[in-house]
Amino acid sequence: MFNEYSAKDPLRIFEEINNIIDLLYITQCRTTRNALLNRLRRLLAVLVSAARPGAPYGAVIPAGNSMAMQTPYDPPALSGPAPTAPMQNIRQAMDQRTFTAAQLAQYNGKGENPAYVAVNGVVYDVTDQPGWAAGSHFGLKSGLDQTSAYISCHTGQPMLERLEVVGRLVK
Amino acid sequence: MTKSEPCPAMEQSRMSAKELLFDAEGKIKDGTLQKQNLIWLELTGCSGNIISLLNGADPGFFYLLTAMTNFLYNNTLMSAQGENAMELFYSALKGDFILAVEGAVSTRDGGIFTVIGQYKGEPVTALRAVREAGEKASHVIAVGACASHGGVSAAYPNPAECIPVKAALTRKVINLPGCPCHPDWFLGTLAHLLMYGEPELDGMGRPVLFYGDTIHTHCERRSYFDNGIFAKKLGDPECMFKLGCRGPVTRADCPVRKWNGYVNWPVGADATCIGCAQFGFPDAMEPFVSFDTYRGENDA
Amino acid sequence: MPERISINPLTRISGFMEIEADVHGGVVTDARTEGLLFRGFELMLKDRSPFDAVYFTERICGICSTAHAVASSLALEDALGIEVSEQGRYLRDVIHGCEFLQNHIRHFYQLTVPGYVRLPEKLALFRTDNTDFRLPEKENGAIVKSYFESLRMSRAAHEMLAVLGGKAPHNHGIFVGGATTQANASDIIKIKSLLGEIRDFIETRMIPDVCAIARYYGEYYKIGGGYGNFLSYGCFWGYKELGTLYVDPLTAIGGKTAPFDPADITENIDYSWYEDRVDTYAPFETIARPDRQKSGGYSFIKAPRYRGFACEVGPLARQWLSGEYRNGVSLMDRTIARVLEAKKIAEVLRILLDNLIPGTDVQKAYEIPQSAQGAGLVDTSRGALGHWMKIEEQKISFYQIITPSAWNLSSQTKGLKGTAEMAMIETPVRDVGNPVELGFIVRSFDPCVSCATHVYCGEKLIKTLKVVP
Repeated sequence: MFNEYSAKDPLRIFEEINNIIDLLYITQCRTTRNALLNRLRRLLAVLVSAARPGAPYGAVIPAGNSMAMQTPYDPPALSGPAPTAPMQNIRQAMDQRTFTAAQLAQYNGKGENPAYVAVNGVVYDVTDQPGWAAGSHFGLKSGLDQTSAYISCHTGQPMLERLEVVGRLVK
Repeated sequence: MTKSEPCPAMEQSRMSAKELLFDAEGKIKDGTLQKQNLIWLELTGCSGNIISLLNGADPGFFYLLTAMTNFLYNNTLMSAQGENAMELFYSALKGDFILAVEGAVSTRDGGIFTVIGQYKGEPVTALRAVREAGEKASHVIAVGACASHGGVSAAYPNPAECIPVKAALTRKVINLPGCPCHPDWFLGTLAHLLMYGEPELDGMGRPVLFYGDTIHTHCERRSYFDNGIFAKKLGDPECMFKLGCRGPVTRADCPVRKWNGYVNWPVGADATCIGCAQFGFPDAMEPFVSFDTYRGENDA
Repeated sequence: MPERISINPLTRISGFMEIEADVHGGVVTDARTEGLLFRGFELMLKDRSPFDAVYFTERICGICSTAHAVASSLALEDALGIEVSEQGRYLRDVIHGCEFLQNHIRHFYQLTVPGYVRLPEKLALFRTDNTDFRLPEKENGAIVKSYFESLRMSRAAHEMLAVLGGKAPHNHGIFVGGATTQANASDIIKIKSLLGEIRDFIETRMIPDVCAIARYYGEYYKIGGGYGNFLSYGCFWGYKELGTLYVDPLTAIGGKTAPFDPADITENIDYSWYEDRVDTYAPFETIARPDRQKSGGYSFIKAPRYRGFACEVGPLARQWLSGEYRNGVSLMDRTIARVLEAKKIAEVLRILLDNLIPGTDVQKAYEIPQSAQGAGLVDTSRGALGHWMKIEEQKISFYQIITPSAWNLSSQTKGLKGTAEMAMIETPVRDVGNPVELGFIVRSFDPCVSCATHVYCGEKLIKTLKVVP
C-alpha cells in the first residue's frame, strides 16, 4: 500500500487515494490517521507537480508542529524524470525565440547582454531579479542551463512562475 | 486498534505531553540572569570574531566577564599560557559550560593543520578540542562564518580541508554566521540562553531574532531598487544591485542594527553588501563588486 | 645537559604558536617556535575576480584586516594604472590609522599587560600560575583600571574606523581609488571627538603605564634585541602637500640608514618546505610549491630578505627610522615603541582629518584589463606588508603575500637566522619552570596568526610546520 509511485501513472495514484479514504473512515487511532493524511498530502503534491510544476506542495509544516506530522516529511522521489515546465511558460516559450547552449552562453548579464537562465527547457530573464545581482546567484552563473541546481534547491517553490520567459532552449 | 484498546502510540504521545507540562513548570525561569561558564575556542580562522566581541557595548566585554559568564578560556585573552592554559581548559570541561567556537575545523591530516595547544605531551588539534568540548557543552554556539559553514577558511580549493563546527559534532549547534559575527548577535543569543533558554532557530540553526529578514527588506536604499534607479559606481547614493550587492539573498539585520556602536554599515559606507552573513560566503557571493553589469538600453 | 622548555599554546597572540627552547646554564642555546594554523590564501585567490581580493584578503587577519585591504588596493591600482588623488589617500589612510590605534591599544592592554600585571583572579580568565608580578599594589591596581578603560578606547578606535569604513573588523570602505564613501562634516567631527578621547587616554594612561612596567622589569632592556636591522616600506609618507607625516621607505642595516628599494626584496626557501627551480627568488617570479619532504627543510615559513639581510619591521623599526625613539633595541624598547607609535599615529590622524575636504567622491567605475601585474607595499600595524598580484584573462592568476610576521619571524637562510630567532638566542632565563622571558620576547613582535616561526641554533635542524596566511 505504501509503495513508491511516480507522476507517470496517475491511475495508480487515484487508486491509492481511494484506498486511503477507505482507511480513514475506519481509523480511530490519531497517529495512524495523521500518517494517512500525510500520505494523502504527498500524493496530492505529486499530482499538482505533474499538472503545474513549481506550485507549492501543500502546506509547509512549521518545525515543531508534532501533532500534524507523525512521520517525517520528505518530498516525492526526485530520481524520476524532471518535472516539466509550467504549462503557461511552455506556451509562451513556443511563441518566442529559440536558444542553443552556445547562444544562451552570451546572456551572462555582462556588458551588452542581459542575464538569462534556462530551467527545464524554458529560458528566463533574471536580469532584474534581486537574487541575481551582477548576473549570478549563489555562485551560479547566468547564460547557462541551471535545471539541476534549480531542482535541488527550489522544487516545491513557485519561483519560475514569477520569471519572464524569453524563449526555449534547443539542442 | 479499537475504541476500548487505545493506540499505544497515541497513549505515548499523550503521556509525553503531560510530562512535558510538569517539566516546564519546574523549569520556567523568571527571566533573571544566571551566570554560566563560558569557553571560547578559536579554531581555523582569523580570530576576527573575538575582536568583534571586544567591540560590543552595552553589553560589552566587561559585562560579559562580570555579570553574564565565568569566562574560563580563550587563547587571545587569558593570562595563563602553555600547560597551565591547557589545564584550565581541561578542568573547565569537567563542569557545565556553554561553548562558543569561532573558526572552521581543519581536518587535513587528522587535524594537525590547526593545533591549539599541547596537553600531557600530545598536540591538541582544533578537531580534537572541538569534539571534546562540543559533546560535553550544554550549548554550542558557532560564532562567525567559518564556524557556521566553513566561510573563508573553506574557500575553494579549501587547502586545509575545513568543515563547519556542526559537521564535526553529533549534536545541535546554534549558528551565528557573519564575517565577523556582530557582537550583539553573540551577546544577544547568549543572553537569551541565560535568561530564557534556547532562542527560536530557523532551519539553518540561526536565531530568528537576528537573522529573520533579508538585508534587502530593510535597506535604506530599497526605494531606489523598487524604482529601478541604480548606482553606476561605488560612492553613488543609489541602489547598488547592479554593482553586485548581495543584500537580497542575505539574512541579517545590518541595515537596522548597524555596526560598531551602531554608527554605520557597508551600504552606508557606499559599498556593496557581500553577503558575509549568508551560507555560501565567500564563493557563492562572488564577485563582490562588478562594474560590467548589463544595464539595459534605457540606462544612460 | 640542556633543559628543554615548551610553551604551547603561547596565548595572548593573534593565532596559535608553540615555543620550545633548550636552556643551558641559565641561557637559551636553542629555541624553536612553531605556528600551526594553515589556510592557504595564496591558493584560494587564484581565478577570483581581481577586485574581490580587497575584501577577501582582509580575512587573513581579524585584528589587522584593514592592512590587507590597503595592500590589495595598492596592488590593484598599480596593476590597473590607477592614480589615487590626495583626498583618496587621506580617506584611506584615516581608516588605516584607526586600525593602528585599535591594534596598539589591544596589543598593549589585552595581549601584553596580563604578563606583567596581576588582573583580578575572581575573573577566571586571568587565573595564572605565573608569580613574577613585580609591580607594587598601587601601580598594579592603576594598570588594572587602565586595562578595563582601554576596552572602551579600542572599541572607539573601531567605531572611528566604521564611520568611513562601514564596519570593523573587515571594513568595506577601503577600495581601489582610496575609499568608497565621502566624508561629511558630521563624520569628520565624530571621528575627531573619538580621536580626542583616545589621544588623552594614550597620554595620561598608556604611556605612564608602559613606563611603570619598564621601571620594574629593567633587565628587559637588555634582551630580545635581534640584529637591529630595520626596514619600512614607508608609513603615512610622500603626500604631495603634506610631505611625510611619519616615516619614508627606509632601511637601516648595521646602523646605516638608506632608502628602501623594493627590487632588493628576495624570498628564500633554503630551509623551507618548498620546492622550486631556485632557492631564492623575487616576489613576482614564482610561488614555490609546498614540499614537505624537502631535505634540509624545517619550516613552511619562507624567509624574506633585503639584500640578503634579515630585517625587523614594525613599531620599533619605524620609531627608529623616523628618529622618534632610538633608546635601544630590545624587548622592552619594542614594547615602548609600540605605545609611542600609538601617540604618533593619533597625531598623524589629526593632521589628515584637518585636510579632508568633505563631500569628495574619489570612486570611478573601474575596468579589469585582460592581463596586468601590480605590487602593493605598505607599512601597517605590525610592519611591512606586501601583496604581489598578476592578472590573466581578467582573473587573478598569481597572488603572493609577504606579511610583517614573515619578516620578523622568518626561517633561516644559509646560516643567517631570522630576526626573532636571533632575538631569542643567548637570553638568560631566570626560572626554567616559568620561562616568561621567551613569551615576552615573541609577543613583543606582535605575531599575527598564520605565522610560523622557529628558531634554529647550532647544527640541529628542527621540523616545524607551517604558516602561510
